[in-house]
Amino acid sequence: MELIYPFIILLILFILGVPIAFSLGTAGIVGILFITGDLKVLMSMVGLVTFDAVASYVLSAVPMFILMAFLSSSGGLATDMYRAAQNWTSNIRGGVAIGTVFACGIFGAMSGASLAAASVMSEIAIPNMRRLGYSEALTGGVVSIGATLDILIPPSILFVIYGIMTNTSVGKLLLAGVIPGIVLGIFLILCILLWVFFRPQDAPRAEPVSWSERWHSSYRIWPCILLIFIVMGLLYAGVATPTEVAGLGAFFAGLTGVILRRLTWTGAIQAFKGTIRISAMIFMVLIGAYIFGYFMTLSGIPQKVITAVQAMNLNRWVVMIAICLSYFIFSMFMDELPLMLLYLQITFPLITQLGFNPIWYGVVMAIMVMMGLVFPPVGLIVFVVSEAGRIELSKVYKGASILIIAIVMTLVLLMIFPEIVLWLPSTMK
Amino acid sequence: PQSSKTFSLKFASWVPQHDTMNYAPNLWIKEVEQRTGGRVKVTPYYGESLGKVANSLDMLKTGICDLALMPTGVLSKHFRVLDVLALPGLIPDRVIGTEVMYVLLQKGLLEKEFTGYVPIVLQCHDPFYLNFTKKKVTNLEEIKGLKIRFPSVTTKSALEALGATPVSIPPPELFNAINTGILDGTCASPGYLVLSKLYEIMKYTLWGYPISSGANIVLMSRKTWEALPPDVQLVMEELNKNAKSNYLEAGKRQDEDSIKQIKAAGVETYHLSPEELKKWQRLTQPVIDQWISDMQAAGLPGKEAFETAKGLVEKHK
Amino acid sequence: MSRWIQIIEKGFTILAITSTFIMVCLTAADAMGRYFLNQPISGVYEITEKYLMVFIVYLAFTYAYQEGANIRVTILVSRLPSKLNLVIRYFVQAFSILFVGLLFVSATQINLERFREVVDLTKRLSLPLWPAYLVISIGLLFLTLLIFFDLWNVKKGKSGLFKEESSGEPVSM
Ligand code: NA
Ligand code: NA
Repeated sequence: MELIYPFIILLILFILGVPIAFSLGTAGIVGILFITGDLKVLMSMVGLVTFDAVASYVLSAVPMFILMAFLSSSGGLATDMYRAAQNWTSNIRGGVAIGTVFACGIFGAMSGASLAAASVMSEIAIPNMRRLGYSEALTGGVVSIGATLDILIPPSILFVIYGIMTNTSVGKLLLAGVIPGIVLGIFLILCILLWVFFRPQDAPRAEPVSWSERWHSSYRIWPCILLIFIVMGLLYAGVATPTEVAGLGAFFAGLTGVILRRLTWTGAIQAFKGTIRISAMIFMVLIGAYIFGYFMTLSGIPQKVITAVQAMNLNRWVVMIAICLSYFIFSMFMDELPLMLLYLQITFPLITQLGFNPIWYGVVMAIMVMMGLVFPPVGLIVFVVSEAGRIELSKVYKGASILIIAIVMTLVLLMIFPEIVLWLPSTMK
Repeated sequence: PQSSKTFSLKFASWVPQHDTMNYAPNLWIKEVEQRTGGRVKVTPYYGESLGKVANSLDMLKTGICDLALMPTGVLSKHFRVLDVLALPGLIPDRVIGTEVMYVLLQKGLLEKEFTGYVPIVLQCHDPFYLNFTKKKVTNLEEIKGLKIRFPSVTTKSALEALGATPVSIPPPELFNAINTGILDGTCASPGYLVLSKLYEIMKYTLWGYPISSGANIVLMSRKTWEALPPDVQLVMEELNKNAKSNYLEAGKRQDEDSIKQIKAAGVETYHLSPEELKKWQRLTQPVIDQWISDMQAAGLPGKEAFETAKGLVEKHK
Repeated sequence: MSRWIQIIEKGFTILAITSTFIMVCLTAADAMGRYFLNQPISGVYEITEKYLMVFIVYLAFTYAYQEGANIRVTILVSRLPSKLNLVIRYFVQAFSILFVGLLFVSATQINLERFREVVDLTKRLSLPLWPAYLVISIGLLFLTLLIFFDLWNVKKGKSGLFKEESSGEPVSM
């Protein structure tokens, strides 16, 4: 029964606003102390974590994917790509919004951090859509949901972290996200078309674009194609491991920026500063989660959950849906990274026991995280879009809460057809 | 009169519960509990769930766990004499490898690396062979420049001596790296080929030339040991003897099973010609000589360890 | 005092950025070397894992803290009356000192026991691990001190822990 205390402490510290990394760590420390009653054991465990949670070759992909995102956005590549996508789609109603989805998807293939995508796409797309008279709800919603594509489309730091926490192949996870990402993109476009069909006033027609303009703008996006080739091509052809893809991606994102004279010294420094700041934050959370994880191991809670669930004799899909629903509720109030880590510690042994595929569950987890990032009241992507795009928060939430249907549809589809996730990694060659 | 004091111990194992390496330890745990009438309870934690495998010794020292299963290859900086198993072309199978360790133990050559610990069971695994995906390597010309993943620095030198290009790949990415052609091959034991499903994509496996071997040993921290009453220690000592044969039995089952599965999957298994094998042995001899001289320089019984191993191998021929 | 903190923080930041830059270049060169020249760079794996990652993360902690990169649940505290909120902030600040301080002590303790450890790059070349262990301790010690001296900034609302509420972008995946 005393196993409940660490959870109560966790909740209290959360509520008081103690940084989540520290809350997780403290709850873990109290738990370990309760179970072992040995201060020396506790201190040694914590001490070892400070090195082990950080010193990992696989995890070095995290800072490098983040750096790639920052360099891609500060190098002006995103602007070029956005313009090219616009020129191809803007002649249909809602076309500017659809072009934004394309741009988000392509930027997602050059960036490993969705918040970088959210902020750069807000800065580029929102002023343009505003100028054309698009409604703020539609604008904010499209950019928010579009930015979540970044998580599914490789590179993606979420899959690196999931892979390391569950001992699953990061390479396979990254590829597994591609088709669900495309499916989500299509659903999102369908939702936009439906939206502008019912409320045409939200998406006025844009001025027509000539063919020469289209070709001209498309020609300028070759650096983007190069970067996408580096990520997708190398991963799929297997010329490099995920960590190397991260290194090559960041390297060439910087190099094209320098060659095209788009990347200034200040821009580069900002990109590096942003990278180390976010990395430090992520690894602090990982340290806290590792400590909490040892408490979980010592407590035997995951096994108890498995036993309890098996005793209930439920259909495994009932369990899966219960996991997703409860995650969704928690994610309304919590940040996604610590919540995912916490959830994995409890649910991962259970779902593998129930026979679900770990790669597939990784993609499901990613989709849950995406929903958490755009759903009120705590949706980080929506905060960023609202701030960077200067749109009222409630308007962005309104749009995101409608277009989130596209994410839900994707989730349902890949629960019915797991092959959507598993096919591409299985063909890898 | 037995005291009624109970002892609750923690066993950290870096491999999954049903791995062959856990067979003997799991049995040991069960029997310790039975024979002590429940006075000693050992809780196992599998799959690095109490800490990273590289920290196994720190975990024992600090009391995070009382017993640990650890690979000598990963901890070769500490188990320097036991690293004799990793020398190229030396240990042909797990029976001899295990024998070698027990003889080294008996001769007192492991004293230094076992200080502070009590050995429970020493288990040499099946040898690492070379496995290839792209071409069947029958001579030194054909191995030249092939990218091959190595398990430890000793094997890295051996691969270099043979003219291959040793490559580091994190374990969870190994399957992909082979499947997609980042690597041309890898050092892996037959058992590992099956466990990791690598045999599904491997084309050729070169048997008869063990590029390396290694062990998974279970140690108890001496502090824990000394806190146990003599009658419990007696029970454990007896069970330690059984543990060795339990392991070899489980190992035999695994060997038979892996050979069957690898062949059924259509992997071509083959041997080097005797003349070619001699050439390979000659090329990797400097790695062995270097190892011995490094050991001697550090004041460690490298020469005795090697000769003990060599002698046992010859004896079994 | 604050001037010294600034100087040290700046030094750490520069080192963390340099480490990131080196890591990217080494990783890219290793992959390209293996593919084009069949010649991977020996030791990149170990250097990235054991040193560069540790340098990046632990030297960036202080900078991240100053920039307010802490994820916290603020949805509940932000609705409390400001006096109570201030009390809670002092608690959170003090609590954080204890937690990071504990990390520092535990890391230093265990690493003092193993500061002689080395990592093999090749059979002939080993590197000592103590520089990595030292950076962990230095990074955590400095972070502890920083949070401690920030106690005096809590009232002014300038503590690094509570910065993100006013400005700055949130961070996540
Ligand atoms: Na992405
Ligand atoms: Na949320």
